[in-house]
Amino acid sequence: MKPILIGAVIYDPKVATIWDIISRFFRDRGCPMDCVFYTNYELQVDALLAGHIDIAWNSPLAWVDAQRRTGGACRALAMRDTDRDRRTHLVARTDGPLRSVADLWGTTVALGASDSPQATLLPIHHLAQQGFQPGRDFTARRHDVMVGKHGDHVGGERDALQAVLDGSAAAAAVLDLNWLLWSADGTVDPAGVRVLDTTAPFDHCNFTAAPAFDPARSADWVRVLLTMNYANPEHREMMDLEGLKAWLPGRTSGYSALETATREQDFFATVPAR
Amino acid sequence: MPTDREPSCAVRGRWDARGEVRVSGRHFTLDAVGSAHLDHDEARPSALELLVSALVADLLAGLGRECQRAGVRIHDAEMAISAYLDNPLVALGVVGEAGTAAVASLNGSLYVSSDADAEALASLWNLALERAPVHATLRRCVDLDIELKPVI
Repeated sequence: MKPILIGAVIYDPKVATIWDIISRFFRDRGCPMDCVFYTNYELQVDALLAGHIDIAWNSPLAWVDAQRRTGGACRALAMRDTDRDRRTHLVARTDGPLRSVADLWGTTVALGASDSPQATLLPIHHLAQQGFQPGRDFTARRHDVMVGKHGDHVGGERDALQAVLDGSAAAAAVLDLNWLLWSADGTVDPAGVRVLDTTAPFDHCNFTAAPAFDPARSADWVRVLLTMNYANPEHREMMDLEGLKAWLPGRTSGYSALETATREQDFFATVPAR
Repeated sequence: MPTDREPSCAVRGRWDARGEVRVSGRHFTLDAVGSAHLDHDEARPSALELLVSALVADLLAGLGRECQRAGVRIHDAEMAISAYLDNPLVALGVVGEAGTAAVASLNGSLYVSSDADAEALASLWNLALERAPVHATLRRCVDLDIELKPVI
């Protein structure tokens, strides 16, 4: 049987080993799959829509892009439990003057890469809902690390946090999971930096099926994926590497804020031509 | 390709459906998996590891030979080399990556404990470098930096 082709964006060779393990898991269960790696999400979405791959492991922005370009014909097959109901915090130094979002007027807010949903697009949308426009009410300072990877590489977010720590920015946008991690590992002293505000929940990555991909084959693939069980030690390593405790069916209700953000910020008009 | 002489070495390789490659020549056989894999559980070397291993064997054997000819006794010799690809993501087949899959640099150290003083040892090491075919080939196209560190 022809293997199902899964696309993934990788920025570090080590990530490829995770996909090797996942591919073996599927092959061993009679559902052969193979991976095609891309250097950025724009290329991956192009490949998905051209039918070069069957399923893409998409960032939320890549999902929004794929839906935009197909009139909503793609299908969100599955996602990690940790992809659901994420939030972004706006954090500030506790010894600084900021006490609420209202105090952000006239300040500099550190953001992640320009195409990071969690560290740029959604926090700007969140502030816009409260009447703050970048360039008018505050200065947005982006940290463009590995643009094209939609903020997968946390370098931009970490640089944004560092800007708060060194005083060059008043606040920074940080994904809740990264905030927890960096508070625990000593990257930031939670007593010295506090959460000023938090966005509404949103969903992160999903496995996106191409419109033309056979629904029966995608259902079979999802069935195998959902057999991964964190209680099984043989599956746990793979799930730990991907940062999840359970695979869940895909849902599309968590992307509306990002869809709105891309329209408000005219994001896709500014994406370099493919 | 010179046609008027015998090859200095010749090997044969066979690929099997599991993706493994068995290389054989004269009276030896080597198994390899992948070009430059990062699977730490895989016991068999990748092609890249075989290349770097060939360089290590080339240089340690060469140094041993030169020391023997000079009557210098080696107590211990150990070499550690790391290879850096120009862009490892190209070797993995990542669509859209720039650069090449070529080895860009090889860096390492050679630790030698011997009867010779540092100057004599360096001289023998330079002779070994000049006469080592794998090293002579790689230095044409790779940034090679192997530091000799005599151990007292």
